[in-house]
Parts: sequence; C-alpha cells; structure tokens
Amino acid sequence: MRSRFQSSEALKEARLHWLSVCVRTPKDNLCQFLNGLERPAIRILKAPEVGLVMTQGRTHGTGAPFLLGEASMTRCVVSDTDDQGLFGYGQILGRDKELARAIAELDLLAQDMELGPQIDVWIAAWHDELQSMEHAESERVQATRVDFLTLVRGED
Amino acid sequence: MYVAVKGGEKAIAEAHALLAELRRGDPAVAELSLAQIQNQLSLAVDRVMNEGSLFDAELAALAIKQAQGDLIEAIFLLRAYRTTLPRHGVSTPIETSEMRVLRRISATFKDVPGGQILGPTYDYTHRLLDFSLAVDAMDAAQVDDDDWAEEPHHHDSTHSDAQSGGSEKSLPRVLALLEQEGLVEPPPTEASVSVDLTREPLDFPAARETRLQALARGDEGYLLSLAYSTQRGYGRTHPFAGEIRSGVVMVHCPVEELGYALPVGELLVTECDMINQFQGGGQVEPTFTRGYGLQVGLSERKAMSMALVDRALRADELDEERLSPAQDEEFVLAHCDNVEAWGFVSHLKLPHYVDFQSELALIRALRQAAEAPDV
Repeated sequence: MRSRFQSSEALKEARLHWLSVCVRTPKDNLCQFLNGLERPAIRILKAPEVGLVMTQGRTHGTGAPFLLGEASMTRCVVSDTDDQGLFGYGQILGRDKELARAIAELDLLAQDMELGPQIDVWIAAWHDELQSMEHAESERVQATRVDFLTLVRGED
Repeated sequence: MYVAVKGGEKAIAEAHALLAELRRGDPAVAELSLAQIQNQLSLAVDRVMNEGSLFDAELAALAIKQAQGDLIEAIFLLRAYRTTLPRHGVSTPIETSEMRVLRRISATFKDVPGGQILGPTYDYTHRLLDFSLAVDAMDAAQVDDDDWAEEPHHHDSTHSDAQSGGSEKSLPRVLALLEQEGLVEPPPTEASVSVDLTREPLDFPAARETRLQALARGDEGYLLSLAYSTQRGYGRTHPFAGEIRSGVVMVHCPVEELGYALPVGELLVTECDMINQFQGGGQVEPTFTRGYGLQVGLSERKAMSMALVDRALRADELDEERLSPAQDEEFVLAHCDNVEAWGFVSHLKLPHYVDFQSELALIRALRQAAEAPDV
C-alpha cells in the first residue's frame, strides 16, 4: 500500500469527510462494498473492542462543556502489512464489532493510491444518498412549521 | 443494621422462575422484540438511556423488557452493565447549534429566524384515548398513515438507525440574538470539566458543570416536581422557554495518536434554554439570567425540568437568598439519583432481624422498668 496523501493535514481533511459518511451508511451496504474490493492484506493492531465514550454537552449549547453521559462505542485499529505507517481507525457508536472493523478497514484502504479513488466514488454516492434522505426528512419537518397569530387585545 | 443470612437458595430460584413466567405473561400473546420496544416505546427508551446514563437504545430496550417495563429497574440494569465496559475516551462537546432540527420552538418570540417547527410533539393533541391504536396492527396501518411512530426512528445511538435523523440546516439560536444585545447573560466559558460523577463522589459546593451532569442523569419525576415547585413560588425564577430544540448531532471521539477527533455516529438530543428573571441595579444594567437542560432522545419534559432546576441551583452565584428546596444543591443533587434513592429505600426489605430484636428488647426493658414498683 502507498498513501495518496502528501501531508497529514490533507489526510485529516479527507478522512473526516469519508468517516462522516461511513458512520451514517447502513452496515449492510458498507460491508457489501468492502467485500467487493480487491483488498490487500491488513494487520489488526487493536481488535474490535466494545467500550464507552463519555459524551459532553455545552452549557447553553455554546458555553463551558459538561459531561452528558456515556454512549457505547466500539473501536478497532488496523494497519498495512508492509510497514508504510498507514493506519485505519474504526470508531462507531453501538456494540457492533464487525462494523467497527469494516470502518477501520475502509479508513485504511481509502488512503491507498490504488483503491482510494474507487472508494471516493462510493463515498460520494453515499454522501448524495444521505443528503437526499435528509432532504426528504427536512420536508416532513418543515410541514410542521407553524405561524402563530397573536390576537389583538385592547387598542394594539 | 442488617446481618448476613444463609440459605434460601431454592426459594430464591423458584421466585425468579415465577418472575420469569410473570414477565413473559400469557404465552398465547406474541413476545415483544427489542426492535418493537426501540421503535414503538422510544420515549421510554430515551428515559432509560438518560437516567441510566448509557446511550445505547438496544441495551435500553433490553433492560425495559427484562424489567417488565419498570423503568427504574431498567435504569439500574444499564448502570450495572456500564461498569463492565472500558472507557475509550471523552467526546468533544456536541454542537447543538449545528443540529439537524426535528423540532424547534420558542415561547419568547413569535417570529424567530428559521420559524417555529413543531416536529413530532404531543403538544396540541387532545389527550383523548385513540381507539384506532387499540385495533390490531394490520388494521391500524390503514387507519393511521400520518403517524410519526411509523417513521424509521432515528432516536438511537446506534449506527443503523442514525441516518434517518432530522433535517433543518442549522438554525440560529434564539438566545444568541439576546446575547448580542447584552440583554441576557452569556454562557459560562471555563475550560474543562474537573469532576466526573461516574468516578468521583459528589462534593459540595458543586461546580455548575458537575450539577449539570448530576441533573442530566437525575430522576425525571423528581426534577419535574422540583421544577414545578419553583413555579409555585418555592424559589421563583420567573421562567420563559426561550428555545427548545430536538434534533440530530454528530458525536466526535478523539484518537490520541492522531491528535484529532473522528466522527463516530449520530445522536438525537433535546435541549432547553430557559430565560429567567433579570438581575441588575446600581452600576449593573438589568440582564436576563438563564437555565439549561440537555438530554438524549426526545426528552423534552426532562430537559425543561433540568433547565428550571439548573437555574434555581444558581442562587448563590446570583446572590439570591436560598429559601426553598429547589435552591438547595445538597438537597437536590444528593437525592436526584433514582438508583441510589431506590437502593436505600429498597434495603429496608433486607433482614434487619438482629437490629429489630435489640430495639424490641430495649422497649420491653423500658416497659418492665416503668411497671416495676418504686423502690
């Protein structure tokens, strides 16, 4: 495997995008896509482990953080086998080890010179799909938008 | 004081077998699936996740099923389960300003930018029993095609449901408009959280963020009643629901080696920003104060109660006289956890034989002494 990213900054930006799509994509679709790829061997550095993430809120939504409560989260870390220093991170809310591993693997393969572009196409398609789902729900939500009328009282 | 007792294994096993039978109910009636509970009793699931302080809708549904719908028992089950899991990290604070909104209302301004969005609400329902829901599911499908419950639910913290969450692109915060004019106090901005109640005991006086953590996992009924008491005059704070919003936010969890946080999935949350009586005088211009509530799921009643109690507990900070229970942080916080509360009440069922025998002996002795002829 060879990384297609020149800098860790470029990788970070691309990764945040593809992971934000991966963690919202239905598991079946994600695993099906992954299994269809011609994948190089990978090494599992941290086997999928179910644990917790303590979530934080902000006072009044924008102020000082406080601890809201814990969510279950499963984590997995994989790497390439030829020591190019490439790592894939799978972190997903819930307790699905298979999914955490699949996301870790996709995060690793998306960095690859050869597989990366192919994964980009899939990510872009799911990005659009998720947006249209959000759009459909937005319409449903907007239908509940209300204009309250204040009744005139007194001389006003 | 109670003492250890031995024996009873057989009776206990039989009692549990009887319980299992009762829990299952009539075997001729179909057994509940976790998916049914998650989807169709989602507000119960939300409550168990909040007060169990473990956001995992599937586990909450299991707990509700196992506890026969006894939510405090279910909350206890979640609390116990969480102790078996390692902690992978602490999320970056969720940004509710970027929420995909499902519901957003303000009782303080009629025309808020982005509008009043009712979303899936029980407000304005007639509170009449809907007998169309009593008919079997097959028939009900044609009766009720306008039901939110039929939407694939988004309200859980797990992956598969997450994509169906809310929608409106980030709406401006109602109170930010007042903040810009300096009419309402700005939110506190201290850096980091110092105490974690899952690891350290509650200590007084508690910092506001510690109080918010305790309230977030506190009992809904208890906090609702305390909130109500402030409205009735016991620690009046003259509240207005400045903004209530529900919607979906992304959670990000940092990876130490990377030095940045990765998105890990979406969470449905509800927040309430309450505007309260203003302060000022002398050199200080009058400014509205505020209280805050945040919960996972569509837990609006709890979020509002939390905001009211949060504000009442700021009495010292705002130089108000503490006269009422809701303003007393030791009273409020030490008793808001229903697992602790029920644990202590429940322990009265344990054998207190020796304890009681000593009291009994004492009272007998006292009576004997009283009856004995004077010397």
